[in-house]
Amino acid sequence: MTTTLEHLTPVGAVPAGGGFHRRLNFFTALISGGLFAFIAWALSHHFLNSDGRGFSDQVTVLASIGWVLGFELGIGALTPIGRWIIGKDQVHDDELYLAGKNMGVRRHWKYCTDHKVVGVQYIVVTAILLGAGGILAMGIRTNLMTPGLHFVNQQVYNSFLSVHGMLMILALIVAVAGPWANFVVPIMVGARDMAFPRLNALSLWTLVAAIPLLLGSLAIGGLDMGWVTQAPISEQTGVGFDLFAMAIVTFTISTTVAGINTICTVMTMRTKGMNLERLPIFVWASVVAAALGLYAFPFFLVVMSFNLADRMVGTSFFVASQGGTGWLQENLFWLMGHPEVYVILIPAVGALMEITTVFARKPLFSYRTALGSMVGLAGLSALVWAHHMFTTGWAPSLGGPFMVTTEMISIPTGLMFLVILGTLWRGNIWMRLPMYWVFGFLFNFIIGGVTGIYLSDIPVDNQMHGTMFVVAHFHYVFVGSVLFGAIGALCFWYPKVTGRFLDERLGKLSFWLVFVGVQVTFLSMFVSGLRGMPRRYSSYEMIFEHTNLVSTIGAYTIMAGMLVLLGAVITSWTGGEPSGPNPWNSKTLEWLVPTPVPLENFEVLPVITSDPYTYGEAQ
Amino acid sequence: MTVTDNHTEHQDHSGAHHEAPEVVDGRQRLAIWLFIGGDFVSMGALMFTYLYLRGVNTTNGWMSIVGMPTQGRTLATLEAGDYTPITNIESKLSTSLNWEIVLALVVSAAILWIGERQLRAARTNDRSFPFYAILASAVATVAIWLQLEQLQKVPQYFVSSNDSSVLMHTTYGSAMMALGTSVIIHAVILILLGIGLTIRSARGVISHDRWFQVRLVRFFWVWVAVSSVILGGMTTLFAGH
Ligand SMILES: [Cu+2]
Repeated sequence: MTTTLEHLTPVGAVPAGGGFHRRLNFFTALISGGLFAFIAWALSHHFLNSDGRGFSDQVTVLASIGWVLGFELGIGALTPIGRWIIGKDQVHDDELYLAGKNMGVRRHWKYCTDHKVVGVQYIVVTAILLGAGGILAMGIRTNLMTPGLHFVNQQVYNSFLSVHGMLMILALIVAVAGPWANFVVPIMVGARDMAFPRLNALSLWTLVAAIPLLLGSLAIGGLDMGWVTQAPISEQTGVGFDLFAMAIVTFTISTTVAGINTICTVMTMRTKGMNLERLPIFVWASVVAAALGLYAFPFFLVVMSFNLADRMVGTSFFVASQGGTGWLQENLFWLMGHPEVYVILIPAVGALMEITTVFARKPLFSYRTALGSMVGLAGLSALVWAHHMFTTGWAPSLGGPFMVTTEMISIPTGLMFLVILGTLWRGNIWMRLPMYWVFGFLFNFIIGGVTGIYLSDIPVDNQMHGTMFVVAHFHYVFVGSVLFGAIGALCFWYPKVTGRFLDERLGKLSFWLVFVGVQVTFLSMFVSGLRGMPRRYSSYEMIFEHTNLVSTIGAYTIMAGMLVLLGAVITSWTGGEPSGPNPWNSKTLEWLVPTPVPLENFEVLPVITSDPYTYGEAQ
Repeated sequence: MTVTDNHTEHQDHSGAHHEAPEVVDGRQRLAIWLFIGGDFVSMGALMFTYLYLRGVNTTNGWMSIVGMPTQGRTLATLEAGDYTPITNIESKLSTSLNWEIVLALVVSAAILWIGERQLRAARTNDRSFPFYAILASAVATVAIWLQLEQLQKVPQYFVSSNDSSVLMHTTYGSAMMALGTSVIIHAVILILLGIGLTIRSARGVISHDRWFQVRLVRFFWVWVAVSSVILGGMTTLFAGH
C-alpha cells in the first residue's frame, strides 16, 4: 500500500498524533454520556420547580441532552470543534491517527475519520436498529396471532408499536445511505475520503447516541402512540415520549451533517474527467436523497421540539383548548413524513440499478430517465404531504389537488421501475445473489406501489384509512422494496468490504425465506384491512382470526430469513470464499481499487474518459 | 468506465491533505450554503407555524388571555366558579424590543463584514481583525440578552391547584417563544464562531492572506441577520387579530 501519506510515518506504526483521542473509544463515550446524563438529572432536580406540570419532562429532556453531549465528548467528536475555536488545529499526525492508520480492528470502536470505517460502523448500526425493530415486530405479531391473546399488555403493545415504527424508519433512512454513501461513494467519484471526514465521524456517533434514547423510551414506561406522534396523545403520554422525541432531534442533527457531507463530496471531490454525466447512478441517488433529507428533516426537528415544548413549558402549539391545533402537528409531521419515504427509497433503488447493470452486463437503460425520475420524485414528494390527512377534516378543498400530486408521483416511480426493466431487457443475466434481491424488489414494489395509488384516491382512502390495508401497503414498500434494496446492496458490495463473498447458499436461503415471508405476512394483511381490521389495535374480532394467524406465521418466516442472513454475514466476514478486488467484473471505480481498500483509496487519482456503464461495448 | 492513471497528478499530490486553500474553501462554502439551506427550511417551518396558528385562532386563543388573571387561585375555586374570567385581553410582546434584537443581530453582522473587508484589503498583517470579531460577538451577546428579556414578557397565565401548578401560554406566546429560542440558539452559534475567529486571528491562524474562514462565518452571520429581519417583519405585520 503506497499512499501519499506513507512516507510520513514508519511502516506499520500507529501515528504518534491524536493527543487526548488516544484514550477515547466507545466505552469512554458510554461512561461519559452516563455521567453527563446523571449530572444533568441531578442539577435539574436541584434547580427546577418540582411542582410544575412539565417537571418530569424537563428532567428527562435535560438528562438526554446531557447524555448526547457527554457521549460526543467521550468519543472525541467535539474535540475538533473545540480545537478550531481555540485556534489549535489538528496537525498531520493527529489526522493520520484519527483516520485509524495501522490501528487494525480496534479503530472501529473509535471516532475514526476513514470513510470506509464509518461505512462499516453504519452497517453495524443498521443491523442493530433492524434487529431491535424486528424483535418488537415479533412481539406485535405474536400478540396478534390469535384474537385476545394478550401476549403483552396493552401499554406495552402500544409502546412496541411506536418504537418499532420509529426504529425501522431510522434504520431504513440509514440502511443504504449510511453504509454505502460512505463506503463506496467517495471511491466511485475518485476521492480519497469524504469532503469532511471529521463531520462524517461526528454524524455516525451522533446517530449512535440516539439509539439508547429511543430504546430507553421503552425502559422508562413506554409511550401510548403510533410512530406518527399524533397530538394530542403525544402530549399526554408518559415520559417515554421525551426520550423518543430527543432521539429524533439527535437523529436529525446526524442526518443533516451526513447529507451536507455527501453532497459536498460528490460536488467538489470528483476526480479529473468524472463530470456529472459520468457519475454512477447510485452516486446521484445518494445526492438526491441527501438533498431531500436537508429539506425534510428540519420539519422533524421542529415538530418534535414543539411537542416537547408543549409538555415541558406549557406552550400550546398542539393543545386545542389553549388555541393550538393537532392539525398543525399533522402538517409539520407529514411535511417531513412523505419526503422521508423517498429519502429512504431513492438510495435503495439507486443501488439496485447499479446491481442491474453489472449483472445484466448492459449499460443502464436511459441514464437520464433514471436521474430525472429521482429528481422528479424528490420534487413531487414535497407536494403530497396532506394525503396523510384526507380523513382528518383538514382543508377538504385541497383534497383534489393533493390527490392529483400524489397520483402524479406514480409517473417518476414508474419510470424508475422501467429503467430497471429496460436494463434487464435482453441482458445477459448473471444470476448471482445480489440479482435475487433485484427481482424480489420488482415483484414487491409493484404491489407496494399500486396499492399506494389506491390509497391516494380519496374515496378509497376514506374506506381504507387507519386499517391494516395501509400497514400492508407501506410494509410492501419499506420491507418488500427498500429492505430488499438494502440487502441487495449489502450482498453486492460485501466483497469490497471484506474481500470475501457473502455465502451464496445461505444468502439464497435467506432470500427465499424473506421473500415468501413478505408475501405471506402482507398479502394476508391486505385481506385483514379490506375486511375492516383497524391498525394499531392489540386485539380484534373473530372474523380477522385466520388472516392474522397467517400474517404472524409470515412474520416469523421473515425473521428466520433475516437471522440466516445475519449468520451468513458474520460467518462469511472471515470465513467466506475470497473474492479478489473485482469479483463481478464491474466497471465503476470502487471495484478498480485493491481489496481491502487502502487508506486514501487511490495511489494515484484516476482520470475518467468514458461513461460508467460500458458493458458490452468494444473498448 | 475507462480509466487512465494520471501520472502528472502524482507530483502535485492532490491528496486530501495537500490541497490548495482555495479548493478547501470552495468545498466549505458549498457546505455553508447547504447548511443555510437547511436552516432556511427550519425558518420556513417556524413561519408556517406562526401564520397557521394565527390563521386558525382556535377558541380565539391566538392572543387573548382567557381564564385566570392572577396567581394563587386553585382549580377547586375555579370549578366552584369563584373567579372572574377575563376574555379578549390582547397581550402582545414589545415591538420595539423585537426590533432592538433584530438591530443587534444586523449590527453584529455588519461589524464582522467590515472587519473582513479590512482584513482582506490589508497588505501586511492587519492586527485589527480580532477586535472586530470580538465586538461582533459582544453585540450578538446583547441580542441574546434582549431576547431573554423579551421571553420573560411572553404572555402567560398561571393556574395552580393543590398538587400542581401550570403555566399556560397563548398560541401567539408559543410561536414567539419558538422564534425567540431559535434566535438564541443561532446567536450562541454566532458567538462561538466569533470567539473562534478572535482567537484564531490573534494567534495568526487567520491573517490577511488566510481569510477564507472569515468569509464562511460571515455568510452564516449575515444569513442569521437577514432571517431575523424577515421574522421581525412577519411578527410586526401579522401580530394581532
Ligand atoms: Cu405519503
